[in-house]
Amino acid sequence: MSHFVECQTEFRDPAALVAALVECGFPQAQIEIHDQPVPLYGYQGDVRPQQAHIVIRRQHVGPAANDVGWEKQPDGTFRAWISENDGRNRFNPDLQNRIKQEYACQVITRQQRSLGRTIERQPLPGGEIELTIGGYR
Amino acid sequence: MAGARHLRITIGTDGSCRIDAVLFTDASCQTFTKEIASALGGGIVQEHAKPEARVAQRNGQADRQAAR
Repeated sequence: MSHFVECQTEFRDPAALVAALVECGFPQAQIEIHDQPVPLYGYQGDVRPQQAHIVIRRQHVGPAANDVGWEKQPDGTFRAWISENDGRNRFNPDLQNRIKQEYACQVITRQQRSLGRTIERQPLPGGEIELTIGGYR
Repeated sequence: MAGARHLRITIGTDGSCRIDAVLFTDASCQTFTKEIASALGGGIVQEHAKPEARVAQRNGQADRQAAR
């Protein structure tokens, strides 16, 4: 019996999301983590209508940037709040995909380590990442 | 991990994942692949028995019939 599964990734684990952001170049000290959502601010210091539980303030994002945040939704997923301007600059689709890819690595690695399994990580030439999980009894 | 049963997970540049159970000989592999899919949280797009497994089963049946 062999099995093959293809699946999508959604942000649900805040610790893994923060770890992914760190892997993508944001120091831990620049990432705010809140139990309750806090307001996001625009590039002129104006309060935006969006709120988030995980926040990177605009001074850490880039020149003329807005705060970037991830807000927990009622279904447990985290929705990203990224302005149109930031989505064309530092938080372009490449970085957003890289965060999602790294999140997947982090969340699998954390789950499998907690189950006592071994994990080998290897980058592939096309930019994909291969994880090999062993230790099944 | 050659020779030992394992999962090989390929994480795409968009965060999508392909999970491949290798060298499992029983249905436990489904439990382990779904464990990973659950952690990823985005739902399963598709799943199936691997083609080589189906070929092996078909060959096995053909061999049995040929032996009769």
